Amino acid sequence: MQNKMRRRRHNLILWSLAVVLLLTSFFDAFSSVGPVRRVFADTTAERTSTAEQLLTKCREALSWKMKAAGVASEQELLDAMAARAGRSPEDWYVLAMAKMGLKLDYTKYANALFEVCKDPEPTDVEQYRRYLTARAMGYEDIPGTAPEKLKDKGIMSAIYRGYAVAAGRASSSFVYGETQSALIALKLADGGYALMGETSDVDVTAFVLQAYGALLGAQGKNAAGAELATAVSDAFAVLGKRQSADGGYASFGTANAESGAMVLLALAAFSDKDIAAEVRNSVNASALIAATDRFQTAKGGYAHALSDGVASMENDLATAQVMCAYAAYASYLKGASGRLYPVKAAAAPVEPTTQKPTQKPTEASTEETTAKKTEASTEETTKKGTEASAEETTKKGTEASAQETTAKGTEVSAEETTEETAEVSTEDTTETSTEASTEETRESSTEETTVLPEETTTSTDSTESSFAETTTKEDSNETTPSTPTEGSDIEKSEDSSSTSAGTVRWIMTAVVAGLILLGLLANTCSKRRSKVTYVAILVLGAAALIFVWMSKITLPEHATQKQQQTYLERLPAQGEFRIEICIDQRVEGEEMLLTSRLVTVSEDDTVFDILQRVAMAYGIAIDYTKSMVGTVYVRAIGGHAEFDRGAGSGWVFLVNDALATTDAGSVKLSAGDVVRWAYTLDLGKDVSP
Amino acid sequence: MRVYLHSRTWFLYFIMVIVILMTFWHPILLLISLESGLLWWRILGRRLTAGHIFAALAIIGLLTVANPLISSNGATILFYLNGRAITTEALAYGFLFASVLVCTLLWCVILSDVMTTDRWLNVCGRRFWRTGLVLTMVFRFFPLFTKQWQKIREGQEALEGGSPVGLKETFRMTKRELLCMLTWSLEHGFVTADAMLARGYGAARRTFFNRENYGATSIGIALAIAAAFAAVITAAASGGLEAQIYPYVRIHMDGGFDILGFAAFFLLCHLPMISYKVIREERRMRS
Repeated sequence: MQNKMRRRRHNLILWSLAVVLLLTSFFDAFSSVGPVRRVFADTTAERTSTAEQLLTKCREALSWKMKAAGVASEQELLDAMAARAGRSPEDWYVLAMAKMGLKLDYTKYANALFEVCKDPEPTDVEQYRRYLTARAMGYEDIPGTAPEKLKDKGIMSAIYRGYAVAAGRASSSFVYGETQSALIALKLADGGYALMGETSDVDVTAFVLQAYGALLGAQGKNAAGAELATAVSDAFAVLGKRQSADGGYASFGTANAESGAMVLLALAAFSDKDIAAEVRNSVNASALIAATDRFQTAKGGYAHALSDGVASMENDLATAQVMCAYAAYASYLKGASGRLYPVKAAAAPVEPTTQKPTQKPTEASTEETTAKKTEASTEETTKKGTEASAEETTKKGTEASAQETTAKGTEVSAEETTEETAEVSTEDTTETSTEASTEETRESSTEETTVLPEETTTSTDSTESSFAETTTKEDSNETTPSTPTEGSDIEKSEDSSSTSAGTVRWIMTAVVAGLILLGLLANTCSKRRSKVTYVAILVLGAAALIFVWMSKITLPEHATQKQQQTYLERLPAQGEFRIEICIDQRVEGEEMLLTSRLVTVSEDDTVFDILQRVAMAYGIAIDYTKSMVGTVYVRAIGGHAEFDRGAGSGWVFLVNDALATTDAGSVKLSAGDVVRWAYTLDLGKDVSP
Repeated sequence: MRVYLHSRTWFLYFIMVIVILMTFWHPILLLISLESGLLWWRILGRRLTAGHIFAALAIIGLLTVANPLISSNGATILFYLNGRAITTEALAYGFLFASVLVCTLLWCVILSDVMTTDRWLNVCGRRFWRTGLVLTMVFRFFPLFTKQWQKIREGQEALEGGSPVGLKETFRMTKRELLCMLTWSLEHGFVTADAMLARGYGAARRTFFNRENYGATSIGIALAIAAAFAAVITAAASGGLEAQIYPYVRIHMDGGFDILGFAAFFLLCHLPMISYKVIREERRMRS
């Protein structure tokens, strides 16, 4: 009996052995095919353990740095580095520390960084890196010129710009597209990128890829387009070809740690759904990590290059960049974002505590009322900053950062930006005054609005007429912004492009005429034609034509985007508050129509007035119904309408994070309020915090 | 070769085509339905006149222009009209809506031509005879009414010596016509009711005579179009046949399922046309 059992057990073992053998042979057969091997090799457990190893390496490197700097804790190191904030290796260290997820108080470093950022003549590249660092620490905004507005000079600027624009979330897809195509235009024949010349460079190519990853992540795969996808796979192909036999990378003939770190950062910048596995696998990541590890010295830091096959002397930049790369790649392996800045930070806006970041950035968003006061002054200081730089263009002495751009390039760019701002501000004051007044008279003669002084028309009028009047008012007495006019922040584009509005009017006339003709023809051909129908068609057609010629046609604002961006800057600091329109990321990737805009508000402005104004300024279409008693219901914003995603979906708004209980037309606002329009899926239950 | 199809096959056919037409709102499906609809018009001996085309274009044009005036949903703003955003998407939506309307009207004409009274009775069959009866009477009401009105008008004009002149005169005439119609309706109702009673309406054991029977062709075609319908639904459920208008216009065409859907709908529209000779004969006999 027992014998039998044993035999059976024996059989079982034999059978399981056979099965295992069979399976392994199968695996072997499959493993000759690349992608399949990846599937079996990349188990989640393995990924996590690799990530942990990488993070351990990071901590070792950090402890080396702490020892070298003679400090005891990470916090002390951070505070010590604040003396050189905004400069090359230090920023990289902070990026790495932020990416490692160290819970530190970044206030001191941030303060120092913002001081540096006020540099009137920044090197573009440096400004981008500083912006990036600030974003990585959780701050949303930094003083000085916004990343979207710095000029491109050279490829490194373009790269940082792409990265920073994606980190800051551009206000429109226009900026993404522009940035993206600027980068793609720099592509060399073989698919790579270089600082100069026709031979592609590993570091630069990897850097461009990081920017692509950021842009792809910020826009989503579909919006980014096929052109970007091709550029990404081409660049990865170049990196794959350049990988040496041991897995590492060389730059200028020398195998070094930084190049490998950059490539690893490029790999980490793309999430798995962003690019296909084949594209990612053109670079052997595990071999690359193994090769980079060889640069680690006994003390834990990283050397720039090997001398006689041994890493002996630690290098600050190499250590910082390898730390960044490892931390980012570990984050990617864990399934989180491998990009250097917090991607989703824009969904929960952090107050730009630029002047005095007295609180930690995480707490800043909760304490809105106090932060609000600093904002007004921030606006003004930034304005002043640009003005100051306009005057000081003649001054020289831009210290070009060693790696990135030449001094000449920066000078030219500084000049150009200031010229532009000056131009725009003068344009804004003068251009509208003459034409707008003629517009005004025409309007008042055709419509029933009487030619009265501006003061008589208040918010009781229809919004469009008050838009026109307040604009003229603002333009005529620009110097004395005495009363907070409600339409003052709307740039009217009709004056700048009145010819186009005329064209639109004629097109509409042609369409109506065509319709009248069709109707007459249809009636003529019909069996039951009658005189009454002819008359009806003609009368209705005439009414339509009169309607076309009486109505006011305005071209959308995004045609003149430059004006739009500047008008926010020259706002009088009356009662300012933020408006935010967002499609929640649960719904549409990470799409966000408009984030955190400062708008001037007069006392009797309602939430709906502001929405209408901001939507008009940013070229967002809103669809609403106004009832007889004056209540307003907003059906759609920017093409996303109620019931699009289920019976409970639609737009709701929150004032200071409290879900509104009445309609938008009856909620008055006061200075310091934060309005958030959100797309709900469940009658507002899912958007209220 | 004359192919007879059962009434229920016809019923299934029209329901499926019109349901697909009205639910999917896909431009290419609309084109397919337009093409097959015009083919049907030829089969039925209807002529497509310039008046039809102009009317259709006028409807499409009017609705395309009217939609942006009442809805400014959409992501792409063309311009502002009195502060209201006129968007590309709203224009596209109006156009598509009008096209669907025109195509559905076209198919409803075909339906009313093919689905004659006896077909409706056969569709409802022995079991739902009451429904069938009510349906056919309802469908018959309007044409009967207008025809009778025309007769009365002609009679009155003959009596009066020409059509009325002036508003007062027209009003008097119309009033009289209406009174005539009323008495005629009452009388006709009695006649119909008596005729129905005489034929055994309300008797306990009611007989039902049906000339049609399911042939292999009827069942085959019914199964085939049902399969085609299922294929269209499957294609749509697997991500094909997607024409998105909001937030921005985008017609997804990624091969595979789209082509399956188009082919299936094409088949669905065209398969029952093998019975064209029978339908044409029917039309000729009736007119």
